[in-house]
Amino acid sequence: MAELDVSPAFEAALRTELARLGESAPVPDDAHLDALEGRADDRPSPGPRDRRSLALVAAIVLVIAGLAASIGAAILRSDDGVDRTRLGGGRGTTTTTAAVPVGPILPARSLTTSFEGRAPEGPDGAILTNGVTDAETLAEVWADAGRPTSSLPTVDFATEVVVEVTMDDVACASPELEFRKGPAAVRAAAVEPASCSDPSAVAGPRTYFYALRWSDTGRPFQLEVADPSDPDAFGSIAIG
Amino acid sequence: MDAAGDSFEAAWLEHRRALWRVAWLIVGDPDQADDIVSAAFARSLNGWAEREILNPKAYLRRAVVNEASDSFRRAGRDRRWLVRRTGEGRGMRPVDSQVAEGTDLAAALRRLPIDQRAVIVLRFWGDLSERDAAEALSISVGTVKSRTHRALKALAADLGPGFLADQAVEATDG
Repeated sequence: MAELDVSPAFEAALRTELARLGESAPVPDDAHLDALEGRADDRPSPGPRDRRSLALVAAIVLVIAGLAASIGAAILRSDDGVDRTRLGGGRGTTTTTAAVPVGPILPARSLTTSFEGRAPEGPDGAILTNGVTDAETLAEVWADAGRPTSSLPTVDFATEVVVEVTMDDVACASPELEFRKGPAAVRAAAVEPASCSDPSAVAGPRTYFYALRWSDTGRPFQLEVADPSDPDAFGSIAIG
Repeated sequence: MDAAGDSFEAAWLEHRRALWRVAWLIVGDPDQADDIVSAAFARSLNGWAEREILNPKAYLRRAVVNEASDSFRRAGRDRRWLVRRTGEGRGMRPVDSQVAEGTDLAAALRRLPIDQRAVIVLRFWGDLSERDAAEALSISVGTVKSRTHRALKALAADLGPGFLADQAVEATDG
């Protein structure tokens, strides 16, 4: 299909028409806006005791969620030794929100240049994550991803673990992932390319293969993969 | 009221109409815009005293846009869950798509995903730079570029060549 040209004239017309649309907005009067602020003021603000209660409830919820995720990941582990999970897609997956762990960047060995992968099931935003802990499984996963057998990397699984991540809806084809060690998990996120001058180059899901050292990750460890389309969400998988 | 409260009130009063307009352009429904602005007011008021706000307008705008996106994201996540598990709902529009009726552009905006709609409003109505839009939407500049590109393509295809022709005629008449 031919690429649709979006001309500067179209953009100018869009600005003009949007300005008109904005002018037609039924902006409420001051009394109405004052009332909106009053609505916000009416919301009870948590006092110190309430905050402690909220923190306790949040902690309990997090513990339960963590247990559920671990159980789900254990159930997910298939006979071939591969942990499989999908962001937001059920099957024991967690999609949740949390502060991004601030921690050191882990050394990660890229096993192949990121490439256009096969779309995970699901209409959008799906993430497929595999944790591979033996050579036989790596060969299967590698072939499944469409990589040639001749380029199968050599990995010392006594000291390293392989992580495969396929992410849909990645903006501007991120060439690499970055792994950070948080207090409770290793977080993987796409690194934005330094130059993104050709957004039309965005091409569906991308697959990454990395080897991480057990000595850096700990064993077992929890891998979290940030959802590129939702800065607050991530999928989580137990590896090892 | 303390100094932080005073500065917040001054900033809010100065920008609240524009903030409401941004919310309305994104969600298209006055009642939803009310809810978003009200929630953004509370959220930004809480955050105001906790940090130094260098750009009050950008800070407040971000609160509104985040609130709008969050509400749609929650709805979208529920919908995606259903689609993944049952296959039902494929191609369905989320019930949250209620941009103001009345013009072809409004209708075309309504058919855009919320994320693309927000970036179009911020970039082409609010005249925000890619970097400022990225900050307002809490996404990367690259994502702003790709969403803008996709949204423009979708709008151009949806509105068709008649959109440009109408604009040219109006410019001539004007």
